[in-house]
Amino acid sequence: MNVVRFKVAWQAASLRMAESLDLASLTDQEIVALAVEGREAAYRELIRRYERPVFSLILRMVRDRQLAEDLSQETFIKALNAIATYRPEFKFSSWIFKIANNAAIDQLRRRSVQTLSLDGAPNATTPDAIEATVLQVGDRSESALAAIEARELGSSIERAIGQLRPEYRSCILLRHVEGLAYEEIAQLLDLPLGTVKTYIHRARHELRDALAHLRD
Amino acid sequence: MMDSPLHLLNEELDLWLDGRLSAARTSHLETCEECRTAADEIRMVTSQLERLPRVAPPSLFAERIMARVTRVLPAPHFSAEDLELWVSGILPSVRENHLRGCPECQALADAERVLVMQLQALPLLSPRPALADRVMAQVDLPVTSLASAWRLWRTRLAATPEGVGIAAGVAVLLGGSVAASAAWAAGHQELIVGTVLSLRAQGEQWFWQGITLANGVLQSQAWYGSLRAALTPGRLIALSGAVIALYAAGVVTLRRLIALPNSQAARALP
Repeated sequence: MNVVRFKVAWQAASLRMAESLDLASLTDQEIVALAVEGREAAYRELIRRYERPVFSLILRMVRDRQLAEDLSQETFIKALNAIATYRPEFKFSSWIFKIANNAAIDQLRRRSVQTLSLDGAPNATTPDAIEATVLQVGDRSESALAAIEARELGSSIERAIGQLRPEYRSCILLRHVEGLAYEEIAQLLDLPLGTVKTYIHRARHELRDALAHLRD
Repeated sequence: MMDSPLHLLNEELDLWLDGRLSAARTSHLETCEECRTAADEIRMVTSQLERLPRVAPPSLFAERIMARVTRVLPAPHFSAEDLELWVSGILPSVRENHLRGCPECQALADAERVLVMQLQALPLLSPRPALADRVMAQVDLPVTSLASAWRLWRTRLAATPEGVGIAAGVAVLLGGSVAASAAWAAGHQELIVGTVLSLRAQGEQWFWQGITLANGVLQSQAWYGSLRAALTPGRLIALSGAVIALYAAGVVTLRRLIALPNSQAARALP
């Protein structure tokens, strides 16, 4: 562990000496090394890299946009204030996802969030509130018709994900949306590898059933 | 064997047995006794083999074989592991064969792959703008060096127009004061030197007066004589050593009391 820390510190020292520091071209570990030294630009770069993945994970977990905003903010504050305790032998993405997932699970345990918020948070009653809390799904299609179809498909699968148990939801999102390996998910969720595989298999089974009408 | 050195090879004997040996080589048999003997032996062995009786298998032999074959032939349907391998594109060829021949598993595998593609195509969702600003307002940047302290202050001052204004005001005030002082000092050098010399003389006088006074007070004390007699050079050295050791022990104790927790203890995050 000390060797890894030394290497990262050495890299940071080398980077400091470089005249132009292009943060976007650095690895997460190098950015963290700079953040530990108190460079605000490095903190902002970490937020820039992970704000959308973290927010997406939390929003799909808690199904409430305002809540997801708060939990995302809380996740970053917690992680960045403890950046000195981050262990560079692990992936930064796993670390931040772990904090985000814990925040979402804790929240789900405290209160049940039921309604899907693709069309705004459940407590949004005014038009402004609905517009402020509606899911911002990126338009990746080429035509208006394709956009509508993409939205419809997204709605269906988002609803199906929302029907999963929180543990299944964590596993399936981390595996197929964030692209984490089974071993990483097991470590991140503190679950045995076999349990993670079972959860993901069952989650896919439930999703297949829920989306069966689209195939007919 | 006398008229031809080219005896028939084993392959030629096989051809002869099948009636496919050329006439030229067949004529060799008529003149070569050795080859003719060999050919006759082969023909005799072959005919004996052909006359061997056929042995009947035990009863229900075929049924027993087929019972085992039917247990092996239909491969099991796809398991969870098979599906995972299929989705990952590393399904073994044996199972691929089953997939091609099993419509049920093919439909399941197709549905699985479509689902995974849909999940992977889910868009990233964006929080409200300026999340970084809201987060950084509540993050305590570590100050590990003078450079980082300077960066922190510079960043905070530059963050708002008020900060920039305050920084500019302080810089003008300090710079102006220094410049005014330097200009005044340049025009009043004799006064400054005279004042400094006078203050130094006065200070020296007060210092020696204080020393003399303290010495007089000390010697006038009743216990001074006995203390001086008690403090022999050896005792003085021992006392000094004890004081130094006590001081060092105090420093070590304080360091332990104010030591930061190690990384294991500080890792309180999940």
